[in-house]
Amino acid sequence: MTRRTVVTGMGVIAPSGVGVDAFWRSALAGHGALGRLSRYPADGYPLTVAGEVRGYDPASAIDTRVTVQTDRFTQFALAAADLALEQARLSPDTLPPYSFGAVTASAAGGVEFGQREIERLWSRGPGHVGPYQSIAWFYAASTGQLSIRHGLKGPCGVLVADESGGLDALAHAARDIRYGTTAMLAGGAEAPFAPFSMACQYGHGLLSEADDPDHAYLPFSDLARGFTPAEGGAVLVLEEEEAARARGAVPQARIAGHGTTWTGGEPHVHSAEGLAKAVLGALDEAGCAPSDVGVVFADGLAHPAADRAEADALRQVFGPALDSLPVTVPKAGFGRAYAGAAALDVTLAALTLRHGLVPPTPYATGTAYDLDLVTGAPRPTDTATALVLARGLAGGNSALVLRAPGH
Amino acid sequence: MSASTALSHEALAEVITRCAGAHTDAAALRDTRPTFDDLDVDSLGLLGIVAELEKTLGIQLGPDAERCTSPGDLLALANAQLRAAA
Repeated sequence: MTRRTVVTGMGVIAPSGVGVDAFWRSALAGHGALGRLSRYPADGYPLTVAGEVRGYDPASAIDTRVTVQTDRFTQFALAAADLALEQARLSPDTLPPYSFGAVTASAAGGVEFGQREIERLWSRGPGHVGPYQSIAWFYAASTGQLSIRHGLKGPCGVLVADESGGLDALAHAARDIRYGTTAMLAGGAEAPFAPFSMACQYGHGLLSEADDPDHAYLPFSDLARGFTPAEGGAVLVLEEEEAARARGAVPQARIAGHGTTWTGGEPHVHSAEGLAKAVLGALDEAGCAPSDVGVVFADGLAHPAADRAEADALRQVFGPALDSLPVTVPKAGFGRAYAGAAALDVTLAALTLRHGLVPPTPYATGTAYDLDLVTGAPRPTDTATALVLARGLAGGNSALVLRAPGH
Repeated sequence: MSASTALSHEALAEVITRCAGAHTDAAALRDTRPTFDDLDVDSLGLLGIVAELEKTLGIQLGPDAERCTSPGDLLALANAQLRAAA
């Protein structure tokens, strides 16, 4: 029989809140958490507004022997996983060693750590580069440290495909569970605010150069001028449904279907067809019809051609029904955390199914597209099916269908 | 050689704490004589400790330094090298 994957724990570290409760309250309130970029002196550079995690140091949750060898992005992942395991009430050492694994997504890697060590290289010489540089800046560092911290010997992996990779990581974990693994830590977290890392992105033209947080990230608006990047992310505990129920865990949502395509980074018009195919693939795997979907968490790149392509993809799939299908981009309130953004969206989608409220798109006052964009107050819903979309800056288009437990 | 150029338990404990994140102090190194395993310092951590000592002491400690299994062994090796270099 088919082994199904459910979410039993969610750990969030976001600019808008640490922990699921604070994050959800902030999302429902449509709170805007964007502010002045402060991780490095940003004056004089194009990017000055960002979503930063403030008032919380992930290192506070981690042994100093681990903090000296990890970048902030890995510390976010470790701290988020602790929160997720706590919510799931799952202690990894209660499972057989090879039945618990980890998959994370990363787009930036350990760039703050890396920049610090490279500065030592050119300013003081190779003898001043610490040996932990060899492991801290890798994309795979978070998966590796999660595995070491919790003794996970099951399937492990890391995906590097920007935000679409974040959805793909959850699907990858669900596939591991379908193939026989009992539980997985899956998600992504980022800490991209190193000067060289952001400088590498000035060329793609998608970063918002607005200096006013209220008008920096306005997806689907005629004032859209790019996205505002963020740090943080989420890690989920995924479990095989019967095993989860047998140990008394409460499934919060089910990973029902996933689809992904690749259409190249530019021009964005191609992502319309790619996204539509990804959505149809995800619906097919979930055994759902388009009419089952009651809410869409959109990618929302806030670039006119990209927004147009996403709206076109949704119209292709849903037809006239799109007119009354709630579409939301809660990350407009806290920024787009690259590979961490997808797990944050999936967390919000699971909470939407559970609480019957669609969080709004912060800062937005309306849309220039023929979409029912949720703005202002949260929207009540009784749907059991949510669709989450994510694109990667290099051209990935992914879709994940999440269903309420029991559906 | 003068005592001030020798590596002290205090200085070694500070380097272990700063470079490998393993909190320890001179008294613990003297009294309980832990191994690096006891302190949860892995091979990369030891590499960083040796590199830092080489910078602060101003001498090369050689490949045997990275094979020391305890702070006590490393302290003895470093001080023997310092005496030889004096």
